[in-house]
Amino acid sequence: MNKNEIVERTVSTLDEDSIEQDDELVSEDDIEQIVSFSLSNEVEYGIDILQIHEILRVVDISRLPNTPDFIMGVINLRGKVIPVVNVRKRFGYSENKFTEETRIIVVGVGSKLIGLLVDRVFQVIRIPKDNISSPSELIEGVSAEFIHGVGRLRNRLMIILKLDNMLFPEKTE
Amino acid sequence: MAFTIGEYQDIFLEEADEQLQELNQSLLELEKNPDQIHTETINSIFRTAHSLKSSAAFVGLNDLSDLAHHMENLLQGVRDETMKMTPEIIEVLFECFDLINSIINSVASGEEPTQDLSVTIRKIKNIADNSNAVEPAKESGLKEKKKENSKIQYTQNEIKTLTGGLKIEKPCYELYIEIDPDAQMKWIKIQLIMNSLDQFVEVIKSEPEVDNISDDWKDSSFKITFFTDQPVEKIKEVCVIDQINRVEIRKVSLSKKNNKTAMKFHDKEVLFQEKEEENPSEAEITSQSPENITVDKTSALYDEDHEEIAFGRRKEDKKAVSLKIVKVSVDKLDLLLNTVGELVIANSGFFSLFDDLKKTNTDKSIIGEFKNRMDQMSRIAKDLQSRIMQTRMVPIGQVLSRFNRPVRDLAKEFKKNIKFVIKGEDTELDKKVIDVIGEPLLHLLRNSIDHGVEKPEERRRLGKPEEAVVSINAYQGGNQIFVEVGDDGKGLDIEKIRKIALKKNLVGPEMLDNMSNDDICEFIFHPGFSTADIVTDISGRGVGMNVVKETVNELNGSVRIETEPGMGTNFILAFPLTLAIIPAIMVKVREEMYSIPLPDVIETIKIIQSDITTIEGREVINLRGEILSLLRLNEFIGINSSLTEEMKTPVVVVGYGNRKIGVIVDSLEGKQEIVIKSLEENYTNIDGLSGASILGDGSICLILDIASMINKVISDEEKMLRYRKSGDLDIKRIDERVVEIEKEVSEVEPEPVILFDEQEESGKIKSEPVKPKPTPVTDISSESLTIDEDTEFGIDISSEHEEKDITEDIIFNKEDVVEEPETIEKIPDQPEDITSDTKDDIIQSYKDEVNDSDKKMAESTTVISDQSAEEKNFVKDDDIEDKVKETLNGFRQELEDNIMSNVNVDSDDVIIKSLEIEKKDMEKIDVIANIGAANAAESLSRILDKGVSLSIPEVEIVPIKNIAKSIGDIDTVYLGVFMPVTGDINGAVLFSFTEESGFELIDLLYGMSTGKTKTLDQDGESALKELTNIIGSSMINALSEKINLSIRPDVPTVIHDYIQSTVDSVLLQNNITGDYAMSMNTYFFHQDDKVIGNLIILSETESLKRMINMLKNS
Repeated sequence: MNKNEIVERTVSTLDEDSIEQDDELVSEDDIEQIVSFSLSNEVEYGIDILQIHEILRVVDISRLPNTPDFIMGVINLRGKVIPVVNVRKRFGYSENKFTEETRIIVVGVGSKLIGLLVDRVFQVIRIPKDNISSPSELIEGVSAEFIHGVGRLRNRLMIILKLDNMLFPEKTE
Repeated sequence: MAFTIGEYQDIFLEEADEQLQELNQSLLELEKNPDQIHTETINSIFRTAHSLKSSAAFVGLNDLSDLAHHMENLLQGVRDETMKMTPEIIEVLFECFDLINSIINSVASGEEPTQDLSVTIRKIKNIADNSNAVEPAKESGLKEKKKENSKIQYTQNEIKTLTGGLKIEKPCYELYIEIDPDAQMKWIKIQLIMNSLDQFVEVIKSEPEVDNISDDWKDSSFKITFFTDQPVEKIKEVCVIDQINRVEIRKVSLSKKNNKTAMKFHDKEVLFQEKEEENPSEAEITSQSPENITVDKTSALYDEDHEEIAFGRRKEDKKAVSLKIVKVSVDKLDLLLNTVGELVIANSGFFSLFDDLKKTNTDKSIIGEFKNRMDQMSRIAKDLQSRIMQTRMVPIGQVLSRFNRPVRDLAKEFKKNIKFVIKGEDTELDKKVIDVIGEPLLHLLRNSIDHGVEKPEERRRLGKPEEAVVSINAYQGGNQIFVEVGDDGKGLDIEKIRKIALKKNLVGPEMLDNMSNDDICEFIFHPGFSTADIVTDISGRGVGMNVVKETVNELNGSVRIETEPGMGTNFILAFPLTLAIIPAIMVKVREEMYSIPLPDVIETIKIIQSDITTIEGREVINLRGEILSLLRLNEFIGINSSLTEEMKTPVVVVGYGNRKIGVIVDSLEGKQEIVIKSLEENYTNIDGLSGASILGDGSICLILDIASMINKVISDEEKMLRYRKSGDLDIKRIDERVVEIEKEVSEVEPEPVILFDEQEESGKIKSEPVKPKPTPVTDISSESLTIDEDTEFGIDISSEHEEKDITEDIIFNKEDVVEEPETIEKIPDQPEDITSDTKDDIIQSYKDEVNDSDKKMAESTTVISDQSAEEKNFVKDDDIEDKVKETLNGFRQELEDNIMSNVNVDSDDVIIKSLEIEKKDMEKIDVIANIGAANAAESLSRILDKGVSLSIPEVEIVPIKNIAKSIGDIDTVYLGVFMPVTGDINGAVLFSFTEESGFELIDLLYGMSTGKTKTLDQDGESALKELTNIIGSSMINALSEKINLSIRPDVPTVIHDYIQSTVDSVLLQNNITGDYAMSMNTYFFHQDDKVIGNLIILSETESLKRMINMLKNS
């Protein structure tokens, strides 16, 4: 199955869900701060702010030969060589042209620093933890690989990403 | 709480360690040539001992300071030539060094040093006494002279006071202060000291008189004698003032035997000895030095021990020969290096700023000055960067020179006569390696001396020089640093190793018989393995070699043994240059920069295309009589080369081990020092790359891993060999089958099914790739891509065709459009922008862009850099961008129209015409393809045991872009098996299936029920490979037979990906370059018309021409 389809299916499943919330009453501790970004499709994605090191404009990316095609290459982050993942390609979408809004979100995954190439970064959103449901409730199967949970805000949904599997292609076995 | 000597502990330890090395070094020198006069060496030892003394005193290690003090005194005797350098002295000095070393080690490990120094100190004293006795006259004379300046002449009255005080056991001291002669206002310093001293001392005498010291005082030394009940430390404290070179404090006490008359310069020896007997335990006095003894001899009255504290600027130190070294942690250096890297990058920002400035600012002088400063800055920054890089590297000499001493000791211990040779001290190794290799090396040396080298008598008997040579040699070779520890001893006893290996059950006897000597030697690295008959305290326990091996392995190094019975043994340790700065040759493929570590490079040459010959499908050249395999770097990294046929081809000849290959690159970009950064740290290890490096401008350059590249070539060759062996059988088998089939097929062939299919399917399939009739559109859709092809095609062939005016037109247009130099960059990019904005599925991956941009833009070899430049800067000025877009749209429109009107023919025809391939030739190929396809279908049908029908093969010349589309849906993942074809035709057979039909095939092949296979596993892969092998070969064989060309199938590979990617990698891996390729495209069907898959033979158009030529000739 195509990942593209998976995500789309995810979204459609979510749309049907009715959403209720009153996050006003939630205490600080129970709120997660999520940086939301776009891959130029109808879905909004988010990453836990604690995982984010910085957000860069697009810099020179040096291609890495003999790597999966979603690895755009490496960049020089103040003397560190870090890989950049094209998130669109990672999720099975086609590649987008760089625009003025294209950004590289530098995140820490384990001990590694990774750049995530996204089409646009929006804002920091505060979501009460209660409003984040685990993907298993909504979707089945492989999608859990990339999805940490689904955040519900007043009138929209956001897929909060799990970054652990961003860098390496899933094992076929 | 661990013992500590305060905040200066680390500094002290480092320093002391260094000083000790220096001492050992100098002393060894002395020992080697005892008869010569080594004023410089002795001075150096003396200075070092002195420094050690003061630094020990500074951190409160008084015992150590004391010992050093005695050493210093002993040495002073030698220096002043009152004593001779005897082996005895050297021995005792070595003993001191060992003691000091053990103290330092105790402190370093956080223990309080408890070593008993008294024995050694007494030894020193004895030696000093003895040698004094030998030459007393000379000595005393000298001493008197030397000590003159610090002697105070007392008047009778003063002596009376003095002795009076001493009699009632008032502690009395004589203080000597020497001020830096260059110091300003010396008198104030004395006044300062005196003011403080006055508070707790009773001055007996001072010289000069304190009252006389005023601003006209020019002298620089000051002596004072006083009683005080304060401890020495207190006096010391007072005297610590800036610009004071030397402070000496002497305790003065009275011998009970004395009387006033005897005080004057006589009976010194007697006085001294009495003193020692009578006051052996004076509290503060811990030491007695030979120097003092001699002083006592000459100056009767104050025959006392004294403590001497020296601090401040010691001029001797300035003259020290050794390099003064500040030790910095490697981590700090790394940080520094990163920061400087940033500086360089930030600095490079000025250059673009400067360009802007130049445009807006008209004041030439300011701009000029700005440029100057900017260049200067960047030079400094780069300089800084390279220097910091160098700081990480440490010459191995630092470690090796330490071995002089242990080797000497060991030689003595084992009564062996050894000449120790160190070579390659300057070889630089990464600090991390330097820090740990000391121990393993020392162990190897021990082994050599203990086990390797024979005793002198035996050597004499064997006719060897009595003096054995043990050597350490460090050098860089390839990507590694080698450290060799060798001896000319008896060599490893292979028989003995065999026996012990057997005894210890490390190996079975049969296996042992088959082992080479080298392998047998490896046993000595086994834990618990020892060939020594007797276990000595330093070797023979069989632990050491194992530790050596482990340590070296930890550093990613290796140990190799070379041994020759009777000739000696060589242990060769190889360390990689991890983290090191390495010089590298920078090479470029298109705009991508790669570096090849210089140690791997043997030479660089330039060849022309015709130098390259193909043997067994591999490109090789004859380099001065040697056959050199070539590897195209662009293929290795998966992009197209920018080299054209006519251009001279740069080749970097690289070697690893004893293998050599030539790496074809696009251009050589000179030599550069680079720092290896790991790719693993943030990503993972990548095949063929040993890391990345950040260049001066902040860009990243990847470092090629030559070893893995060469291994790949070797394994490819082996694979090829193996394949040929088994392949021969395969082919034969297929041949037989073909013959059989032909017999059958002769009837089967004209079967209506096929013909029917041909008619039905051909139209359907043909329609896809052949459609690209350009529709001049404003709404740019997928078709606009096809237009693109045609457009460039027009440009491409214009020189040969009548569209010449178009080309000019285009160029003209371009110039028209381009008003500002900035916008030039954007032009090549723009068309892509337009297409890609519209439809996702047309957009290629980034990598594809790199590949395709070449094909698309015939005139621009700089597309990539332009693109990236564009991506980096985006568009600063929206207006300009819009304008450019607008103009470009117009330009494109015009171009399309032009081409439409000029090339109003079928695009295929034009292509074929341009390649000088005639239609009738193509028809011939069609016929052959038909036979081939029929063969293939027959094979498939046999394998599947089912009827198979096929579409008539389409032989066409298609734009590379369209190939994927002619196979299937671009948005679907396919299973593709491609089989390279080599020989007279360069190309590939690609058999592709939809996932569904692929899995079904696998099920069929394994005789399982349909639908069982859900994913592609190893078995599935091999089934598909085998299938393709048979089908492809049957087709290829038909072709090769009919055209009389030698075509060989290669090992198939499975790709599970989107069809575009599959096709791209097939084209890349088979080096099908150019904009067009020949394709023979056939669909296979099950009886129920369900598509099985698509078989397409891709080949470069050159091969097609060859085929046609062969056809014409036959």
